[in-house]
Amino acid sequence: MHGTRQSKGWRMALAAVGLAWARGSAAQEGAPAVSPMYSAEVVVEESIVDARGAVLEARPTTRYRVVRRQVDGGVETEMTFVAGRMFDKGPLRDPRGGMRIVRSPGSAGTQVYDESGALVASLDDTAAAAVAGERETGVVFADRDVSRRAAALARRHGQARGRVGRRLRYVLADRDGDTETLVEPDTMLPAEINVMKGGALALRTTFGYARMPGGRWYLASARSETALTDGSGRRFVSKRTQINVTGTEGR
Amino acid sequence: MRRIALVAALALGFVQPAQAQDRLTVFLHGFNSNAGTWWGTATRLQGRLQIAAALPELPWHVPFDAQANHLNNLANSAGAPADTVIVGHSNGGLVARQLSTKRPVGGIVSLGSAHLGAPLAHNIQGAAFHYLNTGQQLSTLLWLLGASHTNQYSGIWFSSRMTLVRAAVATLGAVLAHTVNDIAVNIWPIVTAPVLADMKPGSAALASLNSGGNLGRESAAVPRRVGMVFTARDWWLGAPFVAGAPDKQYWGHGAVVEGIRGLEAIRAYFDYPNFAPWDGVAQNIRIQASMIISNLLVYNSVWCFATTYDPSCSISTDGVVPTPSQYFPGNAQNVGFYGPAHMLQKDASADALYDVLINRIGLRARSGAPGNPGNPGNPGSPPASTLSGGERLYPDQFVRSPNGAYFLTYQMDGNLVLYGPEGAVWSSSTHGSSPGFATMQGDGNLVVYRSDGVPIWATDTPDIPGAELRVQDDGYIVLYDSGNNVIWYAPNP
Repeated sequence: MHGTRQSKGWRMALAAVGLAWARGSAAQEGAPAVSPMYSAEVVVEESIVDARGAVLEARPTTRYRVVRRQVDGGVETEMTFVAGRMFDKGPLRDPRGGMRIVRSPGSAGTQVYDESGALVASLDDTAAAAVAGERETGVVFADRDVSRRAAALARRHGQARGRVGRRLRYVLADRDGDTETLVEPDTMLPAEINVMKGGALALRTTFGYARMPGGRWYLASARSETALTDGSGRRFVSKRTQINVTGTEGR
Repeated sequence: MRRIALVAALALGFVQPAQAQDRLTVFLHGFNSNAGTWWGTATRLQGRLQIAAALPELPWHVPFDAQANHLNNLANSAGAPADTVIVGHSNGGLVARQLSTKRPVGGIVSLGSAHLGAPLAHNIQGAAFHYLNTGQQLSTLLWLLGASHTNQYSGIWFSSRMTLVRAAVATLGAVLAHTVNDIAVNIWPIVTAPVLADMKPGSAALASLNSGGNLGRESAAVPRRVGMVFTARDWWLGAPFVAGAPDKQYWGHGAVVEGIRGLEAIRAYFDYPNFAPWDGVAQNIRIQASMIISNLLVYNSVWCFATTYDPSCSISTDGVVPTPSQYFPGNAQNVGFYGPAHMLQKDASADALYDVLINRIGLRARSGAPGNPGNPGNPGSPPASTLSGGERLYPDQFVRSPNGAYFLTYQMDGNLVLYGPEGAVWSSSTHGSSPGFATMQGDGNLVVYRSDGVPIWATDTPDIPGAELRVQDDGYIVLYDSGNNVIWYAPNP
């Protein structure tokens, strides 16, 4: 069963993950002197909405710049959080301002640096290379890889079970509930995922893609709505948008 | 040390007058509190002032008027004189005002009292739910990460380092649970207390107390009325801790920030492109982490909203009561203090209260008793927005701008600092010196003195008698001469 394989893959990944608090133990490392293969500004907007979709609470917006570089041994991803105020007025500032998260290839893992450049946390990922083929997708999707993506979908979800509109419908049932994935047939990229638990919609995510030169797509936006479990009908909404995207990465 | 004994027969908690000239001074506690919380400060003050301290137990859960009736009955049975002074903390200040409608009172001092109401009376349930919900979400995330042996990921082996992050996240949950527990134990019972209705802004009880008619009556009948107005140090950092556990304020805030960073690392790890954006398991973990990060990012503003209706923390508080609400209305005098949080005000304010009782209420020091340390002249505290010739700021005292947005404070570290809504905007850079006082001298010079009397900073504006320092609404501190001409100002552009 595909779900089982996926869980096994997860276990492989998680087994190698370790996070340590290394407060102030290292100075900021200099960025590699290589050109970025991909960069974007990411904006994450979150809120709590009621059953009808009206915003009850707008949560602080998260902004960071993501840069991916080719370095020895693979691709390094760096996220730099933008300093910001929590509100237009008042003393509250985003405690993540200036924070950097660097994911390095191989056994180097993930490091978190605070605004002063001090290492405040690290996340070991010694098995990243071993499991990368199952979980790492890259950030750009080339037209020429349509058949490869179709095969991957079939491997994970089996054959499509009809269509919703023009989109292919894949269904995966496991102990977590039923997951419905709707895929654009032209690109074989998922456009919508719905997770049903106990007969109710627990999670709905939609994906929007944008065109890049050279017959490629990038994930321009992702919007998810998660039902809160307090029985209130409220939902947690998270919308992530990538803007100012540049790069050549793809496969 | 002067011996103090409770007069148990009166059932008032009256401290027995030691000398005939002692003036009866009644110390009232606030909600969900008891008379014993005044014991230490009242004892110290009775040793230094010609007062007979009384510490009655109030039925704090009933409406203000019922508490005042209870107190009035006790006072009648004890034969309390008409010049009795009432010192009330929190709701005690409002009970004192209500009592003055029933019997003559010689003076009222309120500390941290919500004269204009406490929004927390409205919002405590919502805030408690937020923190409780965050703790539950942390539990869910731990479950997803395999902290439980009963979930689908049982059997996942976590390295020792992962154990550390789990411990850190769990600690954060415990911190939040501790806060919720504090709320449950200390504040939650008032949610069902009848007095709650009186405490809400705009309540009928407050409207009556603050009506023009009553303020006029107070002005005539109780001419000596003083509001001691408190702003907690960095009220916006670790805001719920300021209210529930002030000694854990900075530790608590640090733990939350640390938790946010760790959770961001987890979210980044499980994020695209490390995992496919449509990977359901990764997405679930990512969303759980997002919800907790989101909740933690607003944990300060949730408390600020609960206490002021302003989530941006632009309105200062003592952790529980908004600073503007603590001003004794009408033509009463008000004195500002920067530092002690609400639940610490009784113990932290003995010296300040001594000054108020001497200089504003007119009580007398006991012969031979010491004055305030470092306060030889027992000078009066400054008015709300100006520091005039001869007036001083002692450590933790402040002058606030009329709109409440800026305040000039002389800190315990010896630094004279102007704070605005976004933090410090100017200082004398005298931190690290043993604190003495800052004074607006009669010669027109604003000077900071060390505890040994050595001047270490000045505006160098002497020979301008009658000059006055003003803390202005526009965020400047300005020295004006007697002709209202600007002679010095800060910060410089």
